This record gives sequence, C-alpha cells and structure tokens, in this order.
Amino acid sequence: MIEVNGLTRVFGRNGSEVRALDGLDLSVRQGRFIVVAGANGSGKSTLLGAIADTVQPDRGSISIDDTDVTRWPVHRRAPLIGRVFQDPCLGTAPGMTVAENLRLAATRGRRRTLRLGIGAAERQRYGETLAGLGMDLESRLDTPVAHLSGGQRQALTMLMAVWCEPRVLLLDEHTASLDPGSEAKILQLTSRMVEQRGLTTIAVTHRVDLALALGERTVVLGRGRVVADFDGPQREAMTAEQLAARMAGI
Amino acid sequence: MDLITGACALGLAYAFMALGVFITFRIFRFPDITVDGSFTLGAALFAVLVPAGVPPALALAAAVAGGMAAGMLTGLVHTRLGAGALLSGILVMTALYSVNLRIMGRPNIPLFFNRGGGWEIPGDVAYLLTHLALAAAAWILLALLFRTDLGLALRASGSNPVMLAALGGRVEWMKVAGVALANGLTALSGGLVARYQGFADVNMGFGMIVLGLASVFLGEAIAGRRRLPLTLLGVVLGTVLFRLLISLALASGVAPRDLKLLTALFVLGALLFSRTARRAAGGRLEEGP
Repeated sequence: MIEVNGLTRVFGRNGSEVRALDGLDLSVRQGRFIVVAGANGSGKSTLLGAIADTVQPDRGSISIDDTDVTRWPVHRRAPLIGRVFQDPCLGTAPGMTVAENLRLAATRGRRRTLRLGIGAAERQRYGETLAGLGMDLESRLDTPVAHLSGGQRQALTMLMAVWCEPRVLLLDEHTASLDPGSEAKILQLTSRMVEQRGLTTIAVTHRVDLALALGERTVVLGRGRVVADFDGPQREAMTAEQLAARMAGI
Repeated sequence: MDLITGACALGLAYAFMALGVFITFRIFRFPDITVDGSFTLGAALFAVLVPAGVPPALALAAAVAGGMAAGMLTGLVHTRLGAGALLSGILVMTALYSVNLRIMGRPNIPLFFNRGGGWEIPGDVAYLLTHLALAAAAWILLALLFRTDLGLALRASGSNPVMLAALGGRVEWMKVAGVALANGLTALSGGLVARYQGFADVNMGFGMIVLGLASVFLGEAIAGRRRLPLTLLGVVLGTVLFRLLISLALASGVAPRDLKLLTALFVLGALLFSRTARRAAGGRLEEGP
C-alpha cells in the first residue's frame, strides 16, 4: 500500500514558480494497479520522482506499507520500489550483458560483495525467466544490452524492476518510446507481471486510451492536484472523449 | 634485443597506469587527470622509502596506498563538494605537485641498487619477468573483480548511474572507490618505473594521461571493447606496443625533444586505428564496458 499526503513541489522562484505538485493526496491499496493520467505539466512524472526520491518534495509525506519513507534516500527506498522509465536506455546498463543486468537486479538493495555473481545456476534461471517473456532474449544472455531493440530492452527493464518483488511498481510512460508492435507486447507483459505478482502499481500516461486500458483505476491530475478519480463501474462506463475532456480541464 | 626487452619491461610497468586510465575513462566515464600527480606520488614514495631501508615490495605497497588516497580525495571532491570531474582531478593533481616535492625533499632522487635484484640473469630480463608476473596478477584480479557483485555495481555506476541508483547502488561511493582503485594502480606504475629507471623526478608524471589514453586506444583496437577481460589484456598489450614504438622511434634517430610531439601523433594514430577497427568489426561503435 502506498499513501501520499499533501505532497507539494515548487520549481523555480522569484515570480517564475511552477507548482508541479500542489498538496496532492493519493492512496493506493495493496495489489491495486492505478493509472495516473494528465496533460504535460500536470505533475505526473514529478509524483513518480517524489515516490522514488529522484525529486525531493517541499512538503508532504509518502508512506509505503505504513512506513514513512519521505526522508529515505533513493538507495534505501530501492528495495521497496521497482521503476520502469520512459526511455528504454535508462533502465539498463548498455555496456553490460543481459545476464549482468539481471544479476544487478537480483542483488537490488543488498550489500554487493566480492562474490562471483553469475554461475551456471543463475544463468539457467535467467534463461528460463527470459524465455517466459517471449521476447527472444533467452539466447542472448551474453549480448550487451546496447545491441538489443528498444522493445527487448524495455522488457528486460520490466523484468529487472520486478525481479525482487518490490512493494510498489512505478511505470513512467514506459511504452512512449516504442513502436506500436513493441508497445503492444510490453503492455501485455506489464498486465501479466502485475497480475501474477499482485504488485501495487502506479503507471503514468498522457494518453487517454492507455489511461482507460491499463489497470483498474484512473486518477486524473491537473496543476499538481487530483482533479478526478474513477474506479469500478464509473471507470468502466467512462469513454475516451469524457476522459480527454477531464484531462483538458473542461 | 636489449632494446625490445627494455621496452617491454618498461611498457609492462606503465601498463598499471594504463589500466588505471582505462578504469576511470572507460568504466566510470570519469576523465580523471589526477593520474599525472599520483604517478609521481608512487615514484616519490618508492624513491624515499627504499633508501630508508624499507623493502621494495613494501615501498610499492605504500605507493599503492598513497595513490588510492589521492584518488579517493579526487572522488570525494567530485561527489561531496560537487566539483566537476576535470576540476577535481586538476585540484588534486596540482596539490600533489607540492606533496610530491615535500615527500622527495628535492626535485630528483637517484636510486642506486642492484638492477638485477640479485638474480643471475641480465637486469632487463629480471625486470621484464617481475613486471610480467605483476601485470598478469593485476589482469587476473581485475578481470575477476569486475565479475563479482561489487564489480558489476562498479561498472554499472559508470554505464548507467540512474539505473544503479534505482537498484539501490551507492553511485557516489562506487565512483570514489573506482577512482581510488585507478590511482592506486597508477601509483604502483610510478613506483615500478622509478625502480626500473633508477630515479624519481617530480616532473615524471607530466603528460602521463596522454600516454595512458594512447595505450587504451591501442588496446581497444587490438582486443575490441566487447569483452572486458580481453579489453583489459588489450590495454596491457597496447601499453607494451606503445612503448616499443617509442623506443624504436628513438633508436631510429628521432630527437628526444620531439618525443612529446611524436607521442601526440601516436595517440591520434591509435585513436583513428581504434575507431576504424571497431567500425570494421561491428559496423558501428560498440558501447564500452
């Protein structure tokens, strides 16, 4: 479960302030998959950054499973949070192989020692898990990630984000840089991973179709605040045009 | 033959510095020019400790420790005080010039001891074998280190710090550790070169970063950049090759005053050769380790 209370973040100063988050409140129950939708500048990415501690809020608090993590540095929060970025290049180390990237994910939040990380058992496990993705990655364990396609790279990032069963999964417009074919595969993969693992998930998007297709609840942000929150039958009845109007502030 | 043996022995001594440059430039993407100061620091410590009765092996260990401390300082100036990588290196390198003079007490210290180390074989061969054994040990240890969990995190901190932070890695500490390791190797190189040449000079580190880069480029052209252990080996071989080229140029009549110009031309040639070789091999520039 994640709870955000009164989160505020102002960028700039002396007359040119931009309130990216303006006292935002949001609560997501354990195992729920919500989509945060909004136009550019509505505060979606700032919200994810604040949860992951890449953006420091000016006021407010963030709790994960009833533990206040607002002042925790990013490395301390890491075991609790899996994150997939918009840019497939951000979630993986390009010069390292697929197996090495997975090993880094497998030691998430743990003390990294002088233990040789990738033995035969690990390679077999990585191969089997990658085969389950259906992205033709299982035969490329020793391939540098820089040589993979964008879709393969994002699939690997997804797997790395959930490898250690985080408490919260953050998806930051994670299909925005992909071609339609890869996007469809990654969206399918996302739903499968979240469902199988029962992950508490927050995805952000500016696309109306995704805001209604992904997850089970849609929260609309505008000027750093929650302006609408659709769940259950209300969300099912929502049309793309209606949602677009709410996102545009009409 | 003596020329080749000597060039190989000296090349292997410089190989530790080239490995250090490779670690900072290629693995950590950190343009560290502390190298110019930490190389001399290693030589200075060796030249002061050995005449004082400290065994050469311990003096070399002290050189490594001194180099690591200098590298750690550069890393801390960069990560804790927010100075850019270049500025951090310049600051520490500048400070090290005075530190090295303080350690040495004068600009130049000659070392008088048996170059053969008591062996019944010619001096250069003994040096060659010692340096070869040390370089092989360093290569194996580094190749193993970068396969461990800690080593993978060190590499990731250079390859993608955003990702490593998201996976709970302490990116800043990784950088400090990496720059310390690189400068420890560089100072070891300084100590070995002082031992081989029989003197330490306060200016002997000047331009060392260029020599290191030349060796790295040559090494990458030889071994490619796809497999880290091979690339590390390539850097060692590249340093020896570079030294051989310099020695052959001097032997063929190039004036010593033209050596820096020649070095710069070698670097340029090595860079072009490296790029051409990589394009020919893969059709595009490969990512580093």
